[in-house]
Amino acid sequence: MLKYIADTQSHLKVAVLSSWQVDIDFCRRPIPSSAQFFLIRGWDSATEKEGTYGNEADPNMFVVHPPMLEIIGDQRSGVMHSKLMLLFHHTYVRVVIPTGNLVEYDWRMIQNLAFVQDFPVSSDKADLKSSPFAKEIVRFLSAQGMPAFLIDRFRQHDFSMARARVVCSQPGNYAGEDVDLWGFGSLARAIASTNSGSTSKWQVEVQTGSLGAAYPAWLQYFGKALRGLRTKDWWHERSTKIDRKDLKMDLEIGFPSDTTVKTSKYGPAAAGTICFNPQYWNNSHFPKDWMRDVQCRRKGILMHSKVIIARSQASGTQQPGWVYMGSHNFTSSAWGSYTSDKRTKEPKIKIMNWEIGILLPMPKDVDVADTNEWYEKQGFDVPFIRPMKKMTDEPWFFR
Amino acid sequence: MDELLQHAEQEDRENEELAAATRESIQAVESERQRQLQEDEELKLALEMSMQDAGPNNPIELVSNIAPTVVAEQQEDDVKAEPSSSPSPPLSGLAAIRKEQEKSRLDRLKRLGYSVDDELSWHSHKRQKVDHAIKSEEKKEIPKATPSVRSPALKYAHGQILMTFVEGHGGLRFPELFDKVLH
Repeated sequence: MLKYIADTQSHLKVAVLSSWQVDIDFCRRPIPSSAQFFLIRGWDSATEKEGTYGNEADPNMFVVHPPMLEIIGDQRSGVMHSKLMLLFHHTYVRVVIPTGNLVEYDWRMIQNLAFVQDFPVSSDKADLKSSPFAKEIVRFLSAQGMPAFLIDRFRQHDFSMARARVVCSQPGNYAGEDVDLWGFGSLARAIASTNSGSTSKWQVEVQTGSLGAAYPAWLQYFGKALRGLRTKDWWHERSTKIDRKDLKMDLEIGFPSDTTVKTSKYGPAAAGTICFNPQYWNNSHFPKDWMRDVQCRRKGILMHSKVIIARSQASGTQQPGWVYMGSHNFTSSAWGSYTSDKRTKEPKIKIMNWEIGILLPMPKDVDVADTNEWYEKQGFDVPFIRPMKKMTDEPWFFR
Repeated sequence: MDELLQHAEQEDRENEELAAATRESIQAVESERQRQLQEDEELKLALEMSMQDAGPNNPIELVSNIAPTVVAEQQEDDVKAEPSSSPSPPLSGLAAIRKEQEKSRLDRLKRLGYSVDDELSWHSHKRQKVDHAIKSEEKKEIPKATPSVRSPALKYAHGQILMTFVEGHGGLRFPELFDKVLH
């Protein structure tokens, strides 16, 4: 008989879960009623307000509505798209960064990924200067309005085993010194901190659940971030007429074709969170030749994961590349979109969504074999078949 | 520049489209999910059993906007972060358990030398003082991190990126993250 059995060795004290879509029954089920449960979720500004709420029927549960982008006029709101989970036990905290929402079909019918790592309790507070992993999560939790005691409790762990970097986005308009705080800036800082940036040519594989306009200027911004460059270092030298050769990047964008979706096990019904606007595809600037018909390693299964595998042709002291996995789709809503200040000509970046993911640097001292088996040995289950096939028919369109 | 602005506007619309698309999809997928649940009686039974551990199966009803500083850290047997001024709901099985847990917590506070009334009508400063006392006590129990704590005891001591479960393919199931295993 199928049943859940609680591990008696685990004493879950506090659970922090977050997601865009939430099925309360699904995510409440595995959490003991004696544990405090914080649920960070998206909210509707028309009917709800930012803040932390209690729940009379479930006194140990608190719902957090994080700050969202201020809506001016008929502008659209962003999405609380991050999926961070923190599970506080008596002797350790489990950090989980999945790509799936807190709904059963994301964990049962389509392919997602989850980064998981446990950190033991420490008698000393983590030194955030020497622990970039903890620092970014603390910064993220603070920005989302989580209680101070919870952040203190998180810091009371030993993060010395963390080799990943956290990459995150907070909705907002940023300028000046703040321009590199989130989104592309966060990605660039993570890459630079692992010495993975390189000005040489890059081979980049992107697998995304939803795809944005990918217009030439935006691809240029992405190219700068993947080299670990700060915005101020390239903004005034950027190209305004972009030749793709200047991007020095062989980019493959993995997204399912119309045929792949329609012939999949669950069909279009399971592709509702796989979104691409036909207007983007029909734009003359869209890089159609970079599109790939991505296939899950599990035959007939559609993917909701988001992955970037970046390998440089650098030699010498730098790392050979990195892998990203998290909630960021390949869109400007997730990573940001730059504009130039009309008066000062300085960069501004607008980010729409809350997002979080991790970046793993590729080890430098071992041969980097470009196979899924090699990545598995590094602790990374690549969910898609590589190399990806060229897109020979139209991509799946869903708006 | 016009082209950039146009693209930016397109991207702004992207979120709305994504949300609308997902709402439609959820309905479609929900139908499929219902069908599968009906076929899988064992799973249904398991879900019902697991609810015994999960508390009331109610949709969220937000009762108030609580300032983050008011949400207090729960200590040991503490099951209620703040006393509610609203009428108590009728005692269900779960409520009875909560009452028992609350009694246990009060007993513990009394052992620490605090006088606590049964109606839980504490003032917040008193509550903070009590919490501090418990926290100090709990801190003494926190084991210092050592390699022996770190290595074999932790299931995911090294960061891993795992493929999640998909029907018919195995993988990491959601409950496993909570150290619950399926048999």
